[in-house]
This record gives sequence, structure tokens and C-alpha cells, in this order.
Amino acid sequence: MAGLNEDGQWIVLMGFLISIAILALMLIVSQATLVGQTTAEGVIEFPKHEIRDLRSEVIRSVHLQTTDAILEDMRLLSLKRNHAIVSVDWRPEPNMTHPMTRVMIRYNNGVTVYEETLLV
Amino acid sequence: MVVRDGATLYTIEGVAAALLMIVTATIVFQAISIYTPGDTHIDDMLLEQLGADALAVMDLPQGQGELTLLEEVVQDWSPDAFDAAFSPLLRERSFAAEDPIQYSAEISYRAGDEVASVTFSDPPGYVATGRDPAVRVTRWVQIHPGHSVPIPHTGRSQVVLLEVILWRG
Amino acid sequence: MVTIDFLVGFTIFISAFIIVVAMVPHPLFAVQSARIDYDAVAYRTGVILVEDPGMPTSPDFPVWEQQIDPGEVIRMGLAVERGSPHILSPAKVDRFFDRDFFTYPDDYQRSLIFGDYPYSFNVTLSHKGTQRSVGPPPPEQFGVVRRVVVVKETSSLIRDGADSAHNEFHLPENLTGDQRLMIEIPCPTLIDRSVEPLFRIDPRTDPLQIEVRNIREYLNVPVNETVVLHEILIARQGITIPFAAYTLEIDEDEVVSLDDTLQTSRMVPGNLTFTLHPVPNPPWRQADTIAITFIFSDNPDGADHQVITYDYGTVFIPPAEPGILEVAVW
Repeated sequence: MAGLNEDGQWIVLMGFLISIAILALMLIVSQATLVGQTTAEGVIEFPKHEIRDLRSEVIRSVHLQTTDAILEDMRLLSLKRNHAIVSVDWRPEPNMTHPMTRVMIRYNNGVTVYEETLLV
Repeated sequence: MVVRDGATLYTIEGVAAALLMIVTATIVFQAISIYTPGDTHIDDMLLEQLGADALAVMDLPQGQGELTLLEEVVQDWSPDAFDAAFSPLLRERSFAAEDPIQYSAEISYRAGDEVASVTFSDPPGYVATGRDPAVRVTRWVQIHPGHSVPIPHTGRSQVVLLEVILWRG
Repeated sequence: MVTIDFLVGFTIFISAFIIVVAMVPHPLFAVQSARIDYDAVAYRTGVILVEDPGMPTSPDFPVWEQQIDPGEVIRMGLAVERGSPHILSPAKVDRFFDRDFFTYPDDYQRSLIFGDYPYSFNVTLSHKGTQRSVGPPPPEQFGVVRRVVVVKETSSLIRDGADSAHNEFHLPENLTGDQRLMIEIPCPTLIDRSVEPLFRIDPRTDPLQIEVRNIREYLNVPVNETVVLHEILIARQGITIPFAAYTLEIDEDEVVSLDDTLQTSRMVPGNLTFTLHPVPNPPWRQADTIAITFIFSDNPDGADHQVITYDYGTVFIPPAEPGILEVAVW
């Protein structure tokens, strides 16, 4: 069809360009959304307060008389209420200049795994 | 024939372009998840941070070798004293009016191999709508024999979990 | 020549274009990726301030607040030490809000906010009913984080003449103004890791305060005689050293800040407050005992000499009060 008038094609071309522009724009925007969401999620999912609290409570309780019962309290409550596996091992360290206790804390809530060995 | 075709060419091209643009825009906008400040993770994160902060500060000893405020209010079972210390920490703001944060607190404890809970503090007159986004913060509290917590006495020092649910209401 | 066909086609195109443009701004404005970013920066800044003790450039200076040049501060954390979040050091807080020392926004930008993007920000600490802040008030849209903190209190050794327990100078034969009060500060006893960080006294970073209230009664001086503070001697391990980083207040008026003005005798009517300030590179070591002697007489013979130790058993530390630290970024 040699005689076909092609003058109108620039309109459809324009529509095509605009569509591509929208696509590119939204790609960028959704990236920005993702950044904000992952920042917040990263902070929420890392249980910083929980681990700090656990740590200080364990350090306080190894000097008490009923350490094993208290650690069992914490293990069971963590499991049932915070959905985290907490295991604490402790033994006295006699071969030091000051008598100290070696404490091993393991924490796992499925997303975050935390382990620490410390002397108190 | 040719001349008649040409007469509707611009219209056809215009319709085609319009369809193309609208279909693309619709598909694109439906595909991406729109982040609106209403249900932000950021707000939840900040609220959780604030609650954990307030509990941590209340769990600092009041004097060298003394009990912390948190241990004291749990041990004496005084939700009013807890509220008097906790609420101002949550609500005070200097760039805006008071933040209307509500909370409810409960204490979980171990009884043998089971875990049970008792309510510590409920917001007065609040009717749960089930729609307010809430966050949960916890804190370990040590209680000693002679406490007034309404749980079975074990005769030993024990650790209970203070659970606080926070929301804006 | 414009045909009807062209007009119809172009109108359809433009109408569709307008519809699409109208669709775009809605999600764009609702997203406000900048707000997310502001919140993230505010959160990070809050963490640095509340959970980090900060860092100076030189490892010789363990703390940044004693630096003389603001450019020597790498990071301005306010926590007393690593591992004690929420507990802020009063010296760091004072330095941080010192407008004569740091310039807004450059110094804060460099060692607190970080990054190349020129964020505006405001840091406000509400504590004990007062507000201290850095930066202008925020505009309508800003990212904000609120942290609950406590500010550690300054310890003070209080001797009160009206308190019958403080009767060191109440000896029957003692009816003159010839008195020497010596306060011994044993650094190793004070710097004890087993003491809670909220109550630990570290002479390297914390000011130490000695307060003598009702000094006439305390020194057992008769009403018709004047009390004269003749000299203050500061000694390290028993050897007197020159040291001028202290302030002296009498009835809440600062009277002496330089060593030489002390040589002239002064009348002491009521309460005396002595503050020993921490300095970079102090002339004593961690294992030393510092002794501060107040000489209330120029007659060294026959003077009554009393020694009191500055330690956890004798000092008073007011209960720390919670405060709110807010960081706004825009």
C-alpha cells in the first residue's frame, strides 16, 4: 500500500514513549519504597533490646543461689512467649586470679542467631 | 479508497496511543505496592524502640545495689506506680502535642513446665477495635520471695516476663 | 491545514495523556521516599547519641568532650560508655549543647549526621523540666525519633555543720579558726568496674564536688570570729602539685577560678562548694590518690587536721531522672 498516509504515526510513537517513561519512573519509585521498608524491617527483625535484656539478666542471675531455676524460667518463657530458643551454659572458672564464671549464651529466634561467651 | 483511509488515520493512531498509555499506567500502578504513611513499618519500629527504651530506663537501679523501679512496681504489684512512670516517657514530645500512646501489660511466669500469664495493667475504658497496629515489647524482671505478684509462690527468686503491647489510640 | 480527523485523534491522545499524568502524582506524593530516608537518618543519629560514647581523633584522649578543637571529634556519642545505652554523661551533654564550642550545622554534620547530603536537623533533650536543643525548629514534614534516656548525676561529698553526724571538728579544746580539711580521693577505689555505670565515679571524666554547708558551725568557729579560707592545696600521692582546673563557689557565687587569687584571704560566711573538673592529660594516674586540703588558717602550728575519704560510702549521688532525647531530620 504505497499510498498509505503515515502522518498519524507520531502520535502512537509518543504514546509508546510515555508508557516507557512511566515504567521507568515506577521502577525507581518502588526501589525507594523497598529501601525504607527494609531499613525498618531490618531494625524490627533484629531483636537488639531482647538480646541486651537477656544478656544483662543472665549476668545478674549467675551470682544468685537458684541460677538453674532462673535460667529455666528464662528458657521456657523465651520459647513460649518470644518464640526464641535460649540456652545458657555456665560453669565456674577456678583457674583465674579472681574466681569467675564462664557463661555461654545462645539465642535463636529463627531469623537472628546470637552467641556469646563471657566471663563474669 | 486511499483517501478515505487517510481521513480516519489520526483518530485511529490517537486511540491506539491512548489505550497504550492507560493500560501501561494501570498495570504499573497496580503492580507496585504503594507505601503509605498510615501502615508504615517505620512507625512500628519507632514505637517498639520507644517502648523498649522506656522499659530499659525504668530497669536501671535506683541506687547502688538497690532494686530498679521496674522490679519494685512488679514486686509490689502496683500498676498505678508503673503507669505514673511509664506513660510520661511514652507520651512526651517537644515538636508536637502529646503522643496518644496506649498500652496494656501482662506478666508471664513459669509454673512447672507450663507458662501462664496474669494481667498487670489494662488501659481504662478502652474498647479494642482490632484495627490499631500494635507492637509488643518485653522485659525480664526478677522477683524475690515475699513479692505481691498474684502467682503461685515458689519460695525462690524467679524471673518473670513483663510483656507490654503498645498502640496509638 | 488542520483536518477534523487530526483534531479528533489529537484530542483523544491528549485526554489520555492528562488521565495518565493525573494518575502518577498520587502514588508519587504518597511514597515520599525522602520521609523514609529522614526517619532512617533520625534513627541512626538517635542510636549514635544514646548508645555510643563517641570518639575523638587522638587515642590519647579517651573521651571527645575534653577536646579543645571541635575538629578533633570524630563521633559525638553521649553514652557514658560502650555497653551502657540510655545512660548519658553530663559532661558530654553539656559539651554537645555548647553553642560556643560547636557550630551548627557543620560540626554536627561532620561528626554526628554523616554523609554528603546536607540534612537539616534538630536535637532536643528534655530533662528535669528544661529543654536544651541544637538546630532550628523543624518544618512541617520531618523524620523524628524519640529515645528515653537518663542523665548521670554528679557526685558530691557533703559536710554540713547543722548535721550532728558531721562533727569532725567538734572537739572541746578547739575554739579557733585554725582548721585543715583534707579530702582524699582514691582513684582506684572510685574506678571500680563492679559499680553500676549509672553510679560509677570516674575522676578522669566526671567532675567531683565537695560541699561544706554552714561552714562556721562545721568548723566549730565562735560567732565573733571570721572564717578565712587561706589556701587550697592539691596533692598527688602526698606531693603538692599545681592544678587549676577547679571552681569554688561561696553561697553560689563563683569567687575563685585561678590559683593565685586564692592566696589572699577570704571570708567564708555560709556554704562552700568546690568542684574539681576533669581535664585532658591530668597530672595523676589511675592508681593515684588525690588529696585536696582546705586550709582555713595561715597558722600551720596547732591546726586541727581532719581527713575524709571521697568514696562510695561517703558521697551523695542524687537519683538520676529520665529524660527524652528527640532527633528530628528534614
